[in-house]
Amino acid sequence: MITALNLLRQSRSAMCGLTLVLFVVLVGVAGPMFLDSPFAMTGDSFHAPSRESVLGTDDLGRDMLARIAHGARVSLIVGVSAASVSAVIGIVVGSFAGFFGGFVDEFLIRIAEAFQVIPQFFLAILIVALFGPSISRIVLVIAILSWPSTARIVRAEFLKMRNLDFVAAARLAGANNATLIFREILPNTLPPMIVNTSLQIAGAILTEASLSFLGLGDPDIVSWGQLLYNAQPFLRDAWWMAVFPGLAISISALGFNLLGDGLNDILNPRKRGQVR
Amino acid sequence: MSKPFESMLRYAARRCVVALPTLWLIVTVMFLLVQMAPGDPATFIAGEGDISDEYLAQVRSEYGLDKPVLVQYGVYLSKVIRGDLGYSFRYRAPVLGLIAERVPATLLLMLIAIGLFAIIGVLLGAAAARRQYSSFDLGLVVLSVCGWSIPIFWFGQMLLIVFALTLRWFPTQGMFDLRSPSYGIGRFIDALYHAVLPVTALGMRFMALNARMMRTSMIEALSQDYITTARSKGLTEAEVMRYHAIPNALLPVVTLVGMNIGTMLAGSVLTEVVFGWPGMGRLLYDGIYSRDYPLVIGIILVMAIAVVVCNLITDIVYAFIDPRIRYD
Amino acid sequence: MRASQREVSAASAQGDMPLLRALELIVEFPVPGRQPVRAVNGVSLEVNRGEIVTLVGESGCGKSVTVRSLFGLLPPPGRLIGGRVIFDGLDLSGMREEQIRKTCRGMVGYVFQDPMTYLNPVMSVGAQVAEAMTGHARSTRNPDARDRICELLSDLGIGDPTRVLESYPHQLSGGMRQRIMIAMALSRTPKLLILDEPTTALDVTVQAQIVDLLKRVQRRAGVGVLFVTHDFGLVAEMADRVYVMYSGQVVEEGPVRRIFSSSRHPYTRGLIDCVLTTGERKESLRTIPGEVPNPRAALTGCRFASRCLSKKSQCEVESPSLTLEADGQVRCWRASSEIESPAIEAGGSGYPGLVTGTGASWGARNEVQAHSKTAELGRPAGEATIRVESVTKSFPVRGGAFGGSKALVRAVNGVSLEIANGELFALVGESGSGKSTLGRMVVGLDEPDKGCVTVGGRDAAEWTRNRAMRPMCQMVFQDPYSSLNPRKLIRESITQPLANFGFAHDAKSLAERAAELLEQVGLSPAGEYLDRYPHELSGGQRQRVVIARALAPEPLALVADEAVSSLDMSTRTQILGLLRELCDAVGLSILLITHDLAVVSSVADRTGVMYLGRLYEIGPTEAVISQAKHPYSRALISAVPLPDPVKARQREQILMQGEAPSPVNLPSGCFFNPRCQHATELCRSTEPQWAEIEEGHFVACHLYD
Repeated sequence: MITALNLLRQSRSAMCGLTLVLFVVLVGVAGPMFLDSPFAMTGDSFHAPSRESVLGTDDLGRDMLARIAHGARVSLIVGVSAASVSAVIGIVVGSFAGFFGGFVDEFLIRIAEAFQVIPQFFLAILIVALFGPSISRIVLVIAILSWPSTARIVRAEFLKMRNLDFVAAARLAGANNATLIFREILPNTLPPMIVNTSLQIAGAILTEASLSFLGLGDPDIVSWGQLLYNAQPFLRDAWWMAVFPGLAISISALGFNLLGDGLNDILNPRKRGQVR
Repeated sequence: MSKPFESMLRYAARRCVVALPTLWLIVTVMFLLVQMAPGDPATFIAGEGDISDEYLAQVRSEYGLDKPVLVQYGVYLSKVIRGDLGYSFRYRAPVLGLIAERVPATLLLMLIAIGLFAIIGVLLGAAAARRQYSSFDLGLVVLSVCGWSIPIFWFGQMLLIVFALTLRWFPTQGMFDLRSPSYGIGRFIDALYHAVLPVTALGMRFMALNARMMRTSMIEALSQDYITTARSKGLTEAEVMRYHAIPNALLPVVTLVGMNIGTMLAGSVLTEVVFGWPGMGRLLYDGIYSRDYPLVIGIILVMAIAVVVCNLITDIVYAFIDPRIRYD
Repeated sequence: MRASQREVSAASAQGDMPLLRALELIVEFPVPGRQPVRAVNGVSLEVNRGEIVTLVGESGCGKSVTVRSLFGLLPPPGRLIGGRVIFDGLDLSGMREEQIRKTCRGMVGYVFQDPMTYLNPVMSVGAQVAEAMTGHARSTRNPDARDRICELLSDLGIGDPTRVLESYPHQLSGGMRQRIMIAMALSRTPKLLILDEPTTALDVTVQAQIVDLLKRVQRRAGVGVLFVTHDFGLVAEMADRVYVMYSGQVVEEGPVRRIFSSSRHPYTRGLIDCVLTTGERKESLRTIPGEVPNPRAALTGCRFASRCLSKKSQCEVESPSLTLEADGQVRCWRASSEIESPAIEAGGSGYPGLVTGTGASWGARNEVQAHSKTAELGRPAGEATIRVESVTKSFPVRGGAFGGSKALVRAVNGVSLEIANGELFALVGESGSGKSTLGRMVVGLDEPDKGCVTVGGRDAAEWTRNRAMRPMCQMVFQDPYSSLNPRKLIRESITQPLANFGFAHDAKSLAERAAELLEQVGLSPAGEYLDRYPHELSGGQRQRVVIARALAPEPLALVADEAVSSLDMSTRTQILGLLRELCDAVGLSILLITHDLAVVSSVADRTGVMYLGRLYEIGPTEAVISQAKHPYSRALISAVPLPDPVKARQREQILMQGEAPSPVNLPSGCFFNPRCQHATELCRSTEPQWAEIEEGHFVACHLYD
């Protein structure tokens, strides 16, 4: 843990990203403990930010701060779980395709390519529109639509490494395929994977917000995209209804993007001018 | 016909042939999704709401909904190929016609956003790479990661609040003013005036993406050995950039722009919703809102096809600028 | 020496000024948060008009950076922070890099190491030459410029210049690409040519063509040449004067004959002592102990002191300066009479040697046999450990629109050979000869399409079907940077085979055995190496670890695939000595795969020459090297530069035409016929059969039918 932190300190953007992410996590975890229910109509409607309601109230008089804090939970859960599911599918598909090559590779990579060519956001709209919105379905849809990029990264790394001599050496040392995949090659593909997962969390948060903004969010929970959807008719009268949820989305996406970029700088340093 | 041109054409033809199965796959996936969705498929075809039983019966027999799935699939495929995307209950008009009406508005938004902002992004990225670690470079890096993290629709809302509602510099909604001339250059200028805010909202994200990508790719290109060769010829630094670094650095950026046409189209849907821009995105939003399923399915099919075609064009453009692909 | 600008130009007018004079160059590479790395530390050099000057040294000594710093071509973030460069009477100091390049435009031509990466991949070759000639890529459209470019290209031995102009770098062969680089360098009749390892990326027969071309061009144009290389053979062939660099400094300078006959710096002497010569079987391999110091390490005193056998106490404290002597300069505290070569014997009980005791238990099984040279075709006396019988292997190349396979690379086309217990057999060939594929089949990493390979009487590939089985043959790979898993400790890499094949079970005995193995390959004390990661070791140390790991499952044979070609000269002989010892003392059979004939002639018992997947000559090493029969072997051997300036300039070289065709389109008959001077109709139609020229020396050529 301490060594990980020391590593992160090498990159300013990683540290900034981590700070923002921790801030969002704190809001998401602690906020709902201290604040009212996001559905409670606690005050007047369209109350501008003031001492009683720091971020104002919405058209039904619900406190924006409470709603945003609840939204943080939803965004984090959606982002992290969608990216994890996508990472798992991506690693399995990518490593099998890359390691075995030939027919297996051909088959798996065609599937991944087809998934990538289909415009993901529209497919997500269609699925949610046809099957009805629910948070787990949204997570699944985002994950299913984003694993191909992970799979391609893992596959590319495997293709590069499976021909490296240390893999041949491990084979000669009696390692079986499982050892070769999971003990020899996979640990070496982790750096780009970690970076990719962080960037995918950011992407998933934005996708969920976009779906909710089109009115395709889960109606039973409060999410940031939904808050912006609700704010759209009242932009003229209640700017705070739009400003703060959007700021929250931007901060969390920025946090994970910065973290990903920073990790990329640390884990895949560019080759400097070689000294001959 | 020269030989490079010939091999180019052969490559383009080959890519087109490869794209066909993808289109088929998309149509099939959409058909399967409709089949699998909970509820009566007839309502997905007719739309939900105040629909008479006779109409539903008519739909059932027209689409063969009482017949086996394969027959339904055949009917669906043949309809799609003939361009029959169904009938919108809400607008009481064929879906394809509705979409065709809205295409120009979306195209205008996309073309300006891609043409203007993508190019600005590429230039900014290239400039930053030349001065790596300078304050300009650092500023661009920060701005581009922010631009990539801010949701398009929220950025649009903010532009709307500041520049249209508060400062009143730009109109808030729509593509034309009621008083604007109904034809001619004046109408076009009015549309451009209305487009300023939406295009900015849409373009910002892609400017950020292109700037980021171009910067990375340019730094990579500048570290290559052939740059040393170019310098050793005594070319000026500007010539080295223009003839050697930029052409090579652009290659991955072209692929990226192609891969992001889909994201871009998604962005345009969101932007149109915020600014009431009468394009396909706004139509889709209305369709979702009123559960006009034929409209929703039709628009998504058209957009998916558009994305595949754009990818195809990018592939061909790529081969045109990279001889290694052309002569494979 | 501190001439003002005016004096400089006055002097050059009189013609007694050298073409290039560099004084006290200092180049630093900033490292974030640490002291900058000083890659070049006060190097001065001169090149006269029409003179060929070589800058020689091992990798990391700063020779390439030195020449890059002369005319503003330093790779970022490198910076020239001190020194002056005076070129053709012009003082370049104080100019910005871009200004220097503009000023010297056309007067300095460069040829770099790898023509593939140094040519722009998306620009036609013609445009790139045109750009060098006129400054504008578009001038290929100008018929006048076009004619001049075509003339230049055909001058440089490019057969079809109009077609080549239209092509892109990836469509040309390595030799062709290097000719394009040379064309760019010569396009404006420069006064100085800078050659930065120009042939390192090329095959030896192509290298000979390029070297010959460069020599002719230089003689005709009378240009000064600054030639950077690590190869003493090329130094002997080309140089008039030599600078020897070590760790960012010039340690010796002098005329080429003097450097070879009586070098004064212990480093130079050591290097020359451990240079391997084709056709000379040295009684013992010599090597300089230790390795080139890390440029990041702060050093006091003489930089070579840690590896020097003649050092005195002063050497470790005070840095010597370069002092002028009768013919040259040297940087050493010792008078030349006091100097001993630091090169020591690589084998034996000395420093890098092999501890043979532990191998005894298993040496008994592989009884060492003196092999007399009576043999049938490719068959050694005594028991054969490795037996390869008419083996064929091809690979599909992917291509075409649907990813289908379009063509076959026919890598190995019917090879038979046998290697005895305790024999070191060398397989020589250029790239594309199929030698590595053959090696992979011997260890069983690939299976032959036809024919069979047995090691110790067992099918080589059997272990791939039954993983519990132990491979009888292990492999030492080319690049020790990629053959060890970067995320595993040395201990883990070595114990992996021990545990998998049941040589040891508990952690204690595993560790003991691992330590034993490390000691055996000369990494002593083993405790220092066990718990380190590969990146913490030097190239030579890693290669020893790789050998230790290969020895762990007690194999009967080793395949060493270019096992020394990525190592520096001084380290190379250490590893070769170790391999030789493993044959002699432990009785291992070793198949040494290499492109380097000097390596072969220094250690191998027998040698086979491969071309396009076929063996064309096989026999005792001395016979194959000194009395080669096949025209290909003869050309190959003649192409190797001789590290002796006198002999190198007297001998007549056989220059082969063209380059090896791709193994996708093989010629009919003898594969060598399109490049052979003696080719007849027979050669084009029928495969030659083996003929025994002398005892044990076989050749497959119609000349000997």
